[in-house]
Amino acid sequence: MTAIDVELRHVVKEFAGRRKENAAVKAVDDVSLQIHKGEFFALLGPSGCGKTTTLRMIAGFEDVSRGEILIRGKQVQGVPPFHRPVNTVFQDYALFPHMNVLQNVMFGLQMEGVSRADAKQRAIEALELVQLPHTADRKPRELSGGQQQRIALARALVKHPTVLLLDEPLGALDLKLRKAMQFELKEMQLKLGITFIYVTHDQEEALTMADRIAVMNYGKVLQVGTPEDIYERPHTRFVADFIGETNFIKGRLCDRAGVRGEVELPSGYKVGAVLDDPAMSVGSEVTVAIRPEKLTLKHGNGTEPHHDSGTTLIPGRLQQSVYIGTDTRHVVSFGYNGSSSQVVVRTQNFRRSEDEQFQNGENVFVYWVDENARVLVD
Amino acid sequence: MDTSVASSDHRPRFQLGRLKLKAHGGLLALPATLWLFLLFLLPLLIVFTISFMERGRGGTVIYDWSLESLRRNFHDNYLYVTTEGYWLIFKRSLNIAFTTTFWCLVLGYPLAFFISTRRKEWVQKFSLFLVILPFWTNFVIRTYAWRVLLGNNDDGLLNHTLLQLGLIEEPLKLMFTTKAVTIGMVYGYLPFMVLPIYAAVERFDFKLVEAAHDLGGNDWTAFWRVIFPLTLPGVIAGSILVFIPAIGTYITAEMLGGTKGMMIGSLIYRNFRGTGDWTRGAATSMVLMAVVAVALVVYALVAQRTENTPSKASAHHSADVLSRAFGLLAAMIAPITGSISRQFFLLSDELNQRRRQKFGLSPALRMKRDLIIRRTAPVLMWANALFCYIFLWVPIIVLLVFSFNDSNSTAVWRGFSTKWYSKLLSGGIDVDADLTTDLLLQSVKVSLIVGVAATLISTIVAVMVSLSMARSRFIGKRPLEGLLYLPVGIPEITQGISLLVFFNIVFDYAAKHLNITLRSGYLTLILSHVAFCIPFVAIVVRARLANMNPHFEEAARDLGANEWRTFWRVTFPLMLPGVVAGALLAFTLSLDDFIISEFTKGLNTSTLTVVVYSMARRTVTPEINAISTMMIIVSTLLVGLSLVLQGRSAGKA
Ligand SMILES: Nc1ncnc2c1ncn2[C@@H]1O[C@H](COP(=O)(O)OP(=O)(O)OP(=O)(O)O)[C@@H](O)[C@H]1O
Ligand SMILES: [Mg+2]
Repeated sequence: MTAIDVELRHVVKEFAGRRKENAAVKAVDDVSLQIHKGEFFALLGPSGCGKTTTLRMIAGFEDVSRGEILIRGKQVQGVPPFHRPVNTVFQDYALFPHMNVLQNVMFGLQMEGVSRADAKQRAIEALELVQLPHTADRKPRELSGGQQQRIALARALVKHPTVLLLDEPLGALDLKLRKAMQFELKEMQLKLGITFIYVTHDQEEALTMADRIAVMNYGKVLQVGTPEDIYERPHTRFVADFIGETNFIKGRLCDRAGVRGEVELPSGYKVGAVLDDPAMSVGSEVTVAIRPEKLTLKHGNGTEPHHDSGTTLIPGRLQQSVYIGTDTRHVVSFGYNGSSSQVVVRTQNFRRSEDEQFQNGENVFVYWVDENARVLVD
Repeated sequence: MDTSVASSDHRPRFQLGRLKLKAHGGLLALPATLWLFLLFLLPLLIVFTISFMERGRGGTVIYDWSLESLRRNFHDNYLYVTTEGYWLIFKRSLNIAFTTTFWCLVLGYPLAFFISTRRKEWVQKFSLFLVILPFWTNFVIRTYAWRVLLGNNDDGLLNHTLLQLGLIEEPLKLMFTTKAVTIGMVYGYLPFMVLPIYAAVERFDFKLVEAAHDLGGNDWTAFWRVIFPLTLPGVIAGSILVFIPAIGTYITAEMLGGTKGMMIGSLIYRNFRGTGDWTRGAATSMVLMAVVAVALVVYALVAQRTENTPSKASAHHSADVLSRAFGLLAAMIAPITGSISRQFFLLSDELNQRRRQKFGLSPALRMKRDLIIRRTAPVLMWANALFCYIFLWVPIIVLLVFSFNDSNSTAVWRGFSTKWYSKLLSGGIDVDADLTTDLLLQSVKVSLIVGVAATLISTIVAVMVSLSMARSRFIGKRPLEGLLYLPVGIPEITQGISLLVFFNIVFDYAAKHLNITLRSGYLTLILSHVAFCIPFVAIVVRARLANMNPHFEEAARDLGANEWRTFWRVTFPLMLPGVVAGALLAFTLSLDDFIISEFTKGLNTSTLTVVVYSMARRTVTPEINAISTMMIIVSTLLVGLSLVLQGRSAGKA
């Protein structure tokens, strides 16, 4: 078991309502997390879900309403931010406009009482780390967004914090720069071995960079796990939906054997999927979630669904195919008796043979391996 | 520096009649330019000239342009300033002005900080309003209020109270000291300090404080290394706005200082009254202006450093625009400032380092200290705010209360009565043989005529020049910018005497060469009042214009309105709140003015302020309290009106 750098125990944060009659806003609701030493930990969730608030409580800018936060095993309740061994890279960088780049980076060291000469030396090293030593004399406003971002990083890293908090540090950058910076940040984190807590609402960013991800919504942590865990085995419909594209098919659990379940759709089709909630009972209303890239299209005229030996095949009609570069995205509708639904199928364009060509309006089969479909509670 | 100029390319051109504003808009600036040139700049140049001339008989000036004479008169007039008596007064003036600025800063900074960090918007607005309202009250009256409070004998409220409480045995000598002058001036000018600092703190991005904390700076360090440097322009603007009127003050020094508190302003005043000496007075004025110029340059030096910091809110405080105007000056001296400030920070780092080495605290103790700072700072801020509000409001309230006293005393309460009001209005005033109800009513009439005329003219002229500055380009725009704002930085006493001299010369010329006899009266009053109102109205209107979204005008053009209709249907309604606020400011300034009216009034055209001053300077009586009360009520109504008007149109913009 690795050491734990930051631990949140049942942390709640309530903001008083604007007016008296308004109830308090629960920005963070009973969050418990353990963040390991040297880990790249991402907090992922939609806007307003409480990511920033969580980060600010760790940094010390907000007090917790209930629960406790431990940094390196020590309670930090009541410890002001300037006495916590964490540093923050702010979303809009918050570089001091009246100081030049070097002074900005030196500031934190001077607060520790490092002598001027040493502080300067270390600041220059930090600037070299972010590859911007030539900007030392400039004012922040004379730098591009990406450069400001790196200076903010250097300013925080120069203090060798136990934990570095980053609040959507790449939010203001364009796509290309963002990608480049993602890579650099990850490299730097591996090199320095500092624990990163990284807030983002970009699922792709979280998936590519993080060792572990906590998905949040409405102030609650819904699931914590490795990127693969989160992507392949989402526990809830929200997580499955928020991360990547997912087809949701509503139905009723009609049979289960261990982790294998059979779900009857309103159209009467029976489909297979796995379920990991042992408490889920036969007969309950459920949702089957399956990623578009786990589905395959097959030619064929037929009306009968087919479900056995761990695979499912259901008939449908191709509504539309859209070519999107690496993939083609197909929309297939299926069902009758007035209850039709749609699924999205993604096929890779590595081989566009005759075999793989589908016409709009054509009758097709959608095929999947049951392990790739998951039964979720709503 | 001036956003409206920078972005004028994207603005639509619109016509007034056939004229295209962008191309011919310079014409709109003409009235203001002429007015300020003739009634501000030219008089100043004349004063400058006569400071090198010789005194003739009866206060007249002998013009002699020979180099020899100029040199001799320079010696006579300027070196006269260094003679012992004069020098003492100069030193005292500087001393009082600096002390006043210092105390305004010490009280005003935390107060402004307190106001702008109130969370609830209405609390913030209300606490700001409490600072501004006294500021709209007539200056003579506000100074008079301190006479009531600080009276030297048992009839001074403060002395009376202290005696009653048994805290002192004998009345303290409060009045007619330099302390009294300082208190009166801190009282009078505190709002000047608070407003620009408030604007600066409003613009300050508090994220930066979090960044400082995050990097290990405690509250103390975060304040001095981040908040203070970034609000410094506000501090300097405030200091300048306090220092300039303080160094040139006349009313406060005369009313509260007596001979013990005489200042440069009185010196200049005397030289232009009765058998004074214009040439020496002019020289003294020039020295005063030199002191003010030094102050402005210092402002420019420091303001430049933080001029371009990103701001949260755009310019919507007139104080903000004002400081931007001073920033123009700053641009000229930019290169020096960088190195000076660097040296300063190097030094302060060095000192910090030494202090740390000497008094190194253990982490636990440091934590304790930091938490103590964290807890006490808000307490101190509250205490200061409370003190300031008491300080600002007690004199006014005392004045109001004792105007209803059923006795002659302004210190002992003898029951409620409105007899002083009825006495005032029924012609029974006998404070002084000089003052009759007729005279009082006449002065009210004068004040109203002058005030209304000055307001109308200065508003129209200022709106024209503001539009032209915001929407068009023309040669001489930069110098005009300077001319437009310069009067704000010139002591009133200097403006007053320069107008006196100017009108005298014009009258002399008319009498000699045109055989027309001209006298001071309504015309001179109105001309002068318009001149000193134009800059202030322009500041307010330009702030409004700078804040206006240019897309509204573009949208109107897009929808097919021609330039004339765009102006009347879109631009004008949108700028109206600024125009109204500017007009109210002009009206208040006109009613408030003493010095300039004193020098430009005619025989029967004393304004109300002049009359009240002549009374209040000598005595403290309930009648004056009653007049004051009525004037306070009128100005409160005016402020209320302006707030209602601005509030009503706030949603529109
Ligand atoms: N100071 C505050 N006062 C009142 N409510 C607040 C405050 N700060 C945040 N909230 C509320 O708390 C909730 C969580 O806010 P938070 O800033 O943590 O969201 P976030 O996940 O960081 O969102 P985003 O991705 O948009 O930055 C929001 O509903 C927000 O309105
Ligand atoms: Mg956020």
